[in-house]
Amino acid sequence: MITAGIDIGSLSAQAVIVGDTDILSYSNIIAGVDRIETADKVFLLALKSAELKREDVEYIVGTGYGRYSVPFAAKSVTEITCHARGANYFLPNVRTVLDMGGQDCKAIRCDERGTVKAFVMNDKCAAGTGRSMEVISKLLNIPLEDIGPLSLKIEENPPQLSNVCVVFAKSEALQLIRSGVSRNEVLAAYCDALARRIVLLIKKTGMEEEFMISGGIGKNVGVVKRIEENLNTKANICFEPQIVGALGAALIARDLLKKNLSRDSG
Amino acid sequence: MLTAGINVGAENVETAILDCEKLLGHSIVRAGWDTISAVQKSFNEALLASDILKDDITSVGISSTESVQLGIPTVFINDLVCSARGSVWSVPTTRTVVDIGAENSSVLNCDSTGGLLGYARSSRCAAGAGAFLEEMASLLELEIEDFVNLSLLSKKQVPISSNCVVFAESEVVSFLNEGINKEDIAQAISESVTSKAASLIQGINIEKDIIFIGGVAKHTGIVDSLGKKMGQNIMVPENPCIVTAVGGGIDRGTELERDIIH
Repeated sequence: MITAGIDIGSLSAQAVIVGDTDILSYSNIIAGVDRIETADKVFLLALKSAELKREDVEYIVGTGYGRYSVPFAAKSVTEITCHARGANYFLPNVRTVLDMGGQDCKAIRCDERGTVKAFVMNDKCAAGTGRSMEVISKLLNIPLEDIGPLSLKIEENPPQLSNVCVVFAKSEALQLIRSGVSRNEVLAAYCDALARRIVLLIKKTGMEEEFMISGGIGKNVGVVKRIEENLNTKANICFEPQIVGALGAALIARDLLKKNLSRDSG
Repeated sequence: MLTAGINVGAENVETAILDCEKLLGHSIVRAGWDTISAVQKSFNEALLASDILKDDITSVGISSTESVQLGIPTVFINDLVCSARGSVWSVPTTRTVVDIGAENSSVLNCDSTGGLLGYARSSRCAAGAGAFLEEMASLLELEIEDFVNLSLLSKKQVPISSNCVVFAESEVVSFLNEGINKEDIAQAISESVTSKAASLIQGINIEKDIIFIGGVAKHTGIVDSLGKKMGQNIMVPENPCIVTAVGGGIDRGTELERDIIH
């Protein structure tokens, strides 16, 4: 049985192909302007690395912000459901999932089967989402992936950023640089501000261990470490935190296919 | 008696020089990264424009708590207090003031003497502030003046759903990709600032006359549309950017200031 999940986010897109038990392949790309094209591209990449053809995949579920732009998906499921399910695959004991995406941030509580119990979400303000990291990366001309490690290489803790708004934080960061604060310390202040915002969100839904972080910011050690310190808990992060949503979609696709098959045979 | 008022905004520093509450001259200088030297510069330029020597000034009122050494007695006056005084100075019938600058928006009520009666303020988020208009103008590759003029030509409504400037940016990019006219986009952005101001003004009593000050007051489209929303006529003083600075130069004795400063 081969099924796939396609997650079309605001900034990136992922596809995961699963067999009866294992992940067969996955792909992760930057989302283009044309979402339908993006969906096609990311799916073909995953097919290629699993050496499969389109017709080999029996059921496809689309998820994410652009889930309605996956024309070849049989069904679309919200990313909250998918993230909970995907996190459950990696860590069955997971009870709180923090998904930090490009344009929103969600704290999800789930049970032992990976079913969503409650969630809170911020998609109104860029402060506390991956977008704020892109803004600082562009502003200081530092690759996104370097921000986390650099933000930990500091001698003393920087002053806290007073602004929540990304637009204002941007000018505040520049002001710090001009006043002689080192680049790494500015990054540290910025990561710290993001972590504090996210912790507030998590506290709204309540934290129960195990705790897992999915989404692109899961790759930013500067933010992850500060969230861990703030919550006083360890964050579990899988080998590729960006595919958790697509994986959940692929697993849901497998469940749906099984259900269909048993109905047909019955 | 010669006095000076200085307003330190997020983007500009303005100085007004007054002779017994008569405006002699003013200057507007970019705040930049070094506020203290911007204040010095603005003060010197205003002196020059007024043809006055520094030593002739008896007192300076400034809206910033930063310790600026001008060599003259300088007193801190809260910016809202300055705005209320300056507004009644420029339009004596003013009872409600809408003040939208680069990063702060505030609305306030005042009495006939320019005393502050109540206010609502928003300074946590760029949505609804001048910074929003500027970010969007640069995204559309327009000077802010052209942005304003273009928005007035709009014939079609396109709603912007994002409140956040950062998210609105991606919305605008997709509008551009869809081939929507720049004038309609500029209008949509302006409308979003208007509705933010309209919701802020709910927090105070709306009493006539109403004036609009701060940099955004130069955007006639926003002023008119806010007036329409409120069903009121909104006036814009001759130079809306220096009203707060003028208010700083209106000397009411330091007793009053001490009451207001928290």
